Formats: sequence, C-alpha cells, structure tokens
Amino acid sequence: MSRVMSSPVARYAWLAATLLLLVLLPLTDSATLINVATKCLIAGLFAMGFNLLWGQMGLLSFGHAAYLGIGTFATLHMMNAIDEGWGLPAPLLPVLAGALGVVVGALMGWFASRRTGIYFAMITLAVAELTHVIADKWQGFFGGEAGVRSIRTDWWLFGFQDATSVYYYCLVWSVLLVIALWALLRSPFGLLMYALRENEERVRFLGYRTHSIKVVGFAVSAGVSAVAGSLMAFMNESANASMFATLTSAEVVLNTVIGGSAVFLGPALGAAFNTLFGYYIGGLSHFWLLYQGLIFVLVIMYAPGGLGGLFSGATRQAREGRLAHHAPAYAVGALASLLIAVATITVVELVGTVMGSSYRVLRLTSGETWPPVSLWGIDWHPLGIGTFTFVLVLIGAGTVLLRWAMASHRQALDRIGSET
Amino acid sequence: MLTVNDLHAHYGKSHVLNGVRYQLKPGEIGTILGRNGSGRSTLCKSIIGLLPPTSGSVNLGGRELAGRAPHEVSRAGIGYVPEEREIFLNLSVDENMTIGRKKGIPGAPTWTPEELYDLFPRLRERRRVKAGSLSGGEQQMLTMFRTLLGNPLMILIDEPTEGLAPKIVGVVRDTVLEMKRRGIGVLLLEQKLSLALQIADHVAVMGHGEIVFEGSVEEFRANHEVRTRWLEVS
Amino acid sequence: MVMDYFLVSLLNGVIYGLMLFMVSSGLTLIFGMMGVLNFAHASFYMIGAYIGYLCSLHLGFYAGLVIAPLVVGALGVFSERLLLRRVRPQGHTHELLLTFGLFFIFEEVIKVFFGNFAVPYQVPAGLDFAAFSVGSIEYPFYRLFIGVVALVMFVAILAVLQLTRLGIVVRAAVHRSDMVAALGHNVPTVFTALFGGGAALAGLAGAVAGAFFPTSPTMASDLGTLVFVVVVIGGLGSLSGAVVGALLIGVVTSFAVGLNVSLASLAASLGLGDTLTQMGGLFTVSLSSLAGTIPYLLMLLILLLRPSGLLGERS
Repeated sequence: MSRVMSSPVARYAWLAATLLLLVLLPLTDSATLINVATKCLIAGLFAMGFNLLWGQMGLLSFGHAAYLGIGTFATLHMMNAIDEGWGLPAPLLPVLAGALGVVVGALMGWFASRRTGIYFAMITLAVAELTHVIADKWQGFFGGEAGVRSIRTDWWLFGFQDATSVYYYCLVWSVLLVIALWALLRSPFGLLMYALRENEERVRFLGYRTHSIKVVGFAVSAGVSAVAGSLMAFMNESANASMFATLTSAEVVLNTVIGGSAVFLGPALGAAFNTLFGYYIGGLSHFWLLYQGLIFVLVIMYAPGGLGGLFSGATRQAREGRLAHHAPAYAVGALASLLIAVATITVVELVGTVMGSSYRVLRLTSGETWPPVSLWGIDWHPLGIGTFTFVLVLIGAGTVLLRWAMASHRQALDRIGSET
Repeated sequence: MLTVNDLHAHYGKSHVLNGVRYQLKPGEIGTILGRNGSGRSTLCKSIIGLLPPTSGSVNLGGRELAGRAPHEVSRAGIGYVPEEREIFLNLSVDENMTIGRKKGIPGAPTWTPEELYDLFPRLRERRRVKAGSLSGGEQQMLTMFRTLLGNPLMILIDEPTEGLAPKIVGVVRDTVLEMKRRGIGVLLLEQKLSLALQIADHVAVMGHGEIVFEGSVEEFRANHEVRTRWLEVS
Repeated sequence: MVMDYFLVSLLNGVIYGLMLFMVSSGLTLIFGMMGVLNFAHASFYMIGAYIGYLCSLHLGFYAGLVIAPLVVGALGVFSERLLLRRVRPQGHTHELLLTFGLFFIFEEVIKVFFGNFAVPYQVPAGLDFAAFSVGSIEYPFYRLFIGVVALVMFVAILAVLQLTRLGIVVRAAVHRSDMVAALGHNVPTVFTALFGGGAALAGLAGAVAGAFFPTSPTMASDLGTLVFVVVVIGGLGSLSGAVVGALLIGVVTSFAVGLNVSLASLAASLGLGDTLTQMGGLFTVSLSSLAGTIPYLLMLLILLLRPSGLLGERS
C-alpha cells in the first residue's frame, strides 16, 4: 500500500533535510543530545535490518537480539585485540562483525526458513533463548555479569575519543547501510523477496528456489543487525550478556511496528521515536515503558501502518490536495488523543505514586491520611472528587471527540471514493 | 422458499459468482450441475455465509440472509453438507452427531439420531469409533446426518456421491428422498449427471459463475448443446 | 542418597509439569481454534498470582483461589472481545503483535501497582509443613498441594472437553471452525469463552503457584517462553500433546538443575584426560547451568523435524 512512493522531488527534499539535520546535529554541542542521537542511529539501523525480514518478506523474527549481540561481542573482542597491538583499522570493525552476522544468520536462516508463519517466529525465539542462556553461562567469552569491556583506539587521522566522532562514525555507517538496503530492495532480488511474501508458490513455479531467497534475506538482515551491534560496542565500549534477553528482540519489533514496516524508513523513524521517548519520557516518569506499550497497542489497533504510514498517508493527501478534507478530522483526533493521554497519564502517575513505598512512609507520618500528590504542578487528592471528575471529564470528552473525528474521516474517505 | 437473487462473490480479485438467480421450494429436489470451477461450491459457501457475498440477496421465507454469519444462516434453517466430507476426524461418530444437533425453526421437519441410524445401520454399529477411521461412504452419510440433526428447512449438498460405491450411492439417494418426503428442500450440486437426474424435480446448469440453463429433467436431456458446452469434458 | 535425589527430582518435575500444563492448556486450544498464539497468556498467570496475593492480604488465601480465576477470566474475555477481535480481519500476525503489546502492558501495569520487585505472597500457615521426608530431604506439603490442584484441574478440563457439548464443540472447532459455524454454532462466542476459560486456568495456576514460587513482575516473561516450548513440543492445538510436553519439560528441567558436572569433567571421568578443561569455554560450564538450554534445544528439534509436535494432529 504505502509502497506507493511520493513524488521524487518531495521525497528527496525530505531525505536531504533529514540528512542535513543529522549532519549538523553536533553543532548543538550538547553531549547528551549527541549520545541520544547516536543511540537513535544504532537502534534505527537495527530496526532497518530486522525489517528486511518482516517488512519485505513477511517473516516475523522474535530473536534478533542474538545477531545484534554477536556483532557487539565480536567487536568488543576485536577492539581488545587492536588494543593489544593487532593492526586492525578501527573503521573496518563493522565490516568484520557484519560478515560474522551474515555467516551466523545464513546458518540460522537456513533452519528457520524451513518453516513459515508462527513456526518461523518460534524457531527464531528458540534460537535467541538458546543464545541467551549460553551467553549467560559462558563467562570466558561473554564476561558473565561484569560483561566485556574494551576501549576505542584511534586510527590514522581519526580520533574516536569524543561523542561527536563516535556519532559521525555511526552516522556514516548507518547511511551507507541504509543506501545499500535501499539498493537491495530496488534490485531484482529485492522484488523477488517481496514477491515471495505475496505469493510464495508462484515464485517457486517461476523456477526460483524460495528457500535460498529466504536464507539470503535472513543472512543480510542478521548482518545489518550485527553491524548495529558493532556500532553499539564502539559507542559503549562494553556490554554484558543481558543484551541477549528477549527484551532486546522485543524492542526491535516494537520500534518497527510503531514506525511502520511498509514504509522504507519507517523502522528507523520508530526506533528514533522510541529511543527519544525512552530518554526524555523515561527521565520524567518511572512508567514510560507502560506508555510505550500503550502506544504500541494503539498503533496496532488504529494505525497499522505505523508513524511512517501516517506520515506518508498525510503527505500523499497533501500532494493530491486532499489534506484539507481530512484536516478537521486530524486536528480533532489529535486533540481527543491529547485529552485521553492526559487522563491516562494522570491516572497512572497518581496510582504509581500512591502505591509506591515513599508514599506509604508519607501516609504513616501523616497519620494514615491521603496526602496530596503533585503532578503537572497541581496538588491532586488521590481520593478527591476533583481528581475523579477531571479524569472522567477528559476521557468522556476525548471519546466523544474521537468518535466524531473517526466518523468524519470515514465520510471524507467515502466522499473521495465516490468522486473518483 | 429459498430465493437467491443477483448474488455476486469474489475470491480476492477474481469474480467467482456473477449474479446468480435461483429458487427452491420446501419438499423439492433441485440440482445445479457444473464443472469444477463453474462456481458451484462457491455458491454454497456464499449462501451459507462461509464466503460472504459482495452483493445480492439470499432470502429464506422472507428473511434476508446474505452477508450473515454462517451460524446465523444455519440457525435460520439452511443446512450445508460440504464436499470433501468435512467431518471432525478426531471426534467419535456420536460426537460428530452431537455437534450437528440443534433446534430447528418452527415448521421444519425434525430428526432424531436413532431414525437416522435406521437409514444406515452400519453407522450405528460404529457410533463410538473415531470418525477418522470411517470409510468414505460412512463419512458421507455421517456428514449428511450431522446436518439433518440441525433440523434444517433447506439443505445444500455439495457432491454427495463423489467417489462412492454404487451401494452407498443408493443409500444416499434413499436418504435424499426421505428428506424430500418430510418436506425439506434439497439442493444437490454435482459435477456428474449420475444421481441428480434420477431424483431431481428441476435442473440448472452453472458456468462462469452464472446459471446458464434452467428447466425440467426432460428439457435438460433434450438440450444437447447445454450438455456439451457446459458439462462434458472435451 | 542417589535414589532420594531421584525421587524428589521426579516428584518436583511432575508437579511443575502439571502446573505448566494448567497454563499451557488454554494456550494450545486457543491456537488450535483460531490460529492465535497468545503472547499474553503467561501474563494471565502473573496477574492471577498478584490477585491471589491481594486476596491473601484482605480476604484470605483460599478466597484468592476462587477470585483470581474469576477476575483473570473476565480480563481474558475483555481482551478478546474488545481488542483481539478488532484486529482479527488484519490477520494472525497482527493478532500476535497485539497480544505481544498486551504482554508488555500487563507487566508494566503490575509494576505501577506493586513495584518492580517480588511481593511477599506466602504459603498459608495451614499448608506450610513438611509432608514427608525422603532421606534427609523434607518434602514441602505445599508442592503436593500444587500438584493436587493441577491434577483436579486436569481432570476437570478433560471432563469438560470430553463429556459436555461445549467441550465437543471446542474440540471440533480446533480442527474445522468453519464447519462448526456452518452447523449453527456461534464460533466467535465459543472462542471468547475459550479465551476466558484459558485465562482463568492460567490465573488459578498463578494464584496457587505464586504463593510458593516468587510473585514478581518478571514471572510472565520467565514462564512465557517455557509455555511456548511446551505447546510447540506437544503440538500446537493438541491438548494431549500439552500434557506430554508439560510433563517432559517439568521433569527434564527438574533433573538437570541438580546435575553438577561439566562436559569437561565428564570427559575426564571417561578417561579423556583434561584436554577439554584446558580448552575451557563452554566445556567447563556445569551442566546444571546449561540445563536452561534443554527446553529450547528440544523445541528447535521438534520445529525442524516434526513441526506438528509429538502428538499434534494437524500438519
């Protein structure tokens, strides 16, 4: 669907603007921002690799943490080797890590691709769990709880001792790989991968060995993930086996779905969104993971195309001059979502605070009353009628507005449908 | 009366039913003949709701059923006996019968398991056996009995005699005649001309998702052109 | 001594397996009927444990055994009816992703209410004693209690599925839900009931097991993948397969935990010298710590060699 591309000029304008922004970002001279941006790049690249399987071939992997982790630990050990005097040029680390990822991915892909659908997902899950258990126990290679540490070594004219240089290092690699992925998807082989998703039997009848196509796709996907892992090792200079946990595999699924798997850069967008979300909202609230989960479920239910799908849908409407038809619905929908979000956040934060241990102490010292909780600069009485009214009014108003927005959106679509 | 009017259905993008019109009264045996791919089975599935029609009407005694869920169509009094005898292989014969049991609509003929077993005693002997171990003929009878226990007013039977021994075909015929005797409207959908022509009250022929011929058995026999063009494999 | 160890491990394994079955049975039937692999199923187990804990604080432990399955069952019905059903037209992968999101949300909601760490959900004093002793090992009565509850549930599930009409409809729908619908059964409603029933069972398992094992926000993810292993090994959609898979995984993990030998020491005792010890790496890791790999290895083998599972009836 959203494979329908926007007009080339507009698309390249967007890309160029984004790229320019990324290149100029270190001018802000904020180490935190640069670090977060580096994390966004790495998570984005990982999601792009993952999406080669999911978006292009319809194969859902629940075990991509394994390939990320292989890239990370291989790189850490190589960095240690460089430190001990091996003449390995640092900028080439991702190449070797990626190659390892491709090899391991080809092997695992050979097994996993023998099955499809849920069975494919289960195989990837089993492989990831196996890798996790082994990584946990094999202290010699994965370093146990302390993990493996290393340091970046400068190479030739390049110094890698500050956040900015690491950022550019990651940016260059990410951009190169994203271009390569773009070329791959555009190539006859990329079309074959897509055809496979649509109708595997037909591709087989045309004389292609579909299993081999899947294995290659899996290998490339694992290779890109391993490069992301390598960049991660380069950035953090350390890692431990906990990165093999299911959570890492889960995050890349979350990122990709929230970003939108059918839009080329959707996964990267989702990864950036979630990384920023984790960093900034995570700093504000203990419960940011819950909010992220809620966003994920809302996307699945109401915007299956993800953020990328919404974005490309809106630009397409703008280009065809139809955005005006939809604008009122979008604005009201956004307002309604905001109201519901504020109500939800209020409830979660109040409940979370009231159930917390520090509040329990507060209650004891205040003689078992319910002291007010401060949020949005207001003091809320946990059991006060005002609190309940506020939440109920917001949810009520939000629901009414949302229903109106959805009905109006549908009408606009019908109107366009009847015009064409 | 079952009235199908201008029924259209699609499989993905291919248009498989192209405005089918058909009528069947209670106590009547109608047959629709057609080659594989003519839309025969799709018509059944669209009427019963397994493949929701894209447009058109399915009406039973004044009640509109097109687009309803299969269980609603079934409860409205239309029974369906699929081709391939889709019995529940992992369940016993009795359990298969249990699944079919339901209260029919008022006025529909009713059946009990024992009556049905009387029509084909071999199945009674094997009632505790897993249905998966039955022979093809036994499976066909079980599929029909299972549907009859739902006390339908109309019944659609897809390919009732495909691959069956002549003896079993006789049992199928007797059962269908018994349905007619009790007042059920029976629609037989067949590829070959075997059973249908012996017992049908009227004949229709389907091709390319449409009814291309309708008439009495005699008219059909006389119409050489319809037979060669739409039915016989050249 | 070896015999004692063997007996205790076997008993532990069987009881753990029975408990795994309580959680897996709903999951496998739900998959069989609608092709949905419910990622959030183990969350129902976790929520059951927390509700059991809440009840034990205010209403008593036994009240929890009744309330937990009811509340969790209702939550299951709610999730299916209001959420899962809406994405069904978009296909199984979307359903899978939705349950994946629910799994995430359930865990975080539990953290909002109960914090990140385990809560002190205790075995009630009346059940907290040694049932018997094997050699020097005192065997806790509560383990037997878990086993008995699981056995009773097992018999009840079988009775419902074999003897009631609803049970027969469910078994038929696991194989051909479209035919069941064409025979006049409201399959979506039956599925909602099954989803709720499966959730309630998992909730009960949580309320019972949570008092003995730690009740913490990670208990869903800890058990979740193991439950997948059970249903995959048994054969997705096969109830008898879930029994076999659950007992197998229960016993295997229980035995492996006690094995305090490494591949290297094994090789040494076979007269292969200490070459493996010198090679180090994985070979010197004790087998018990690699025990965790066994379920996943089994699962991989099954998926590759016999994807319909040990007792699966569909290919």
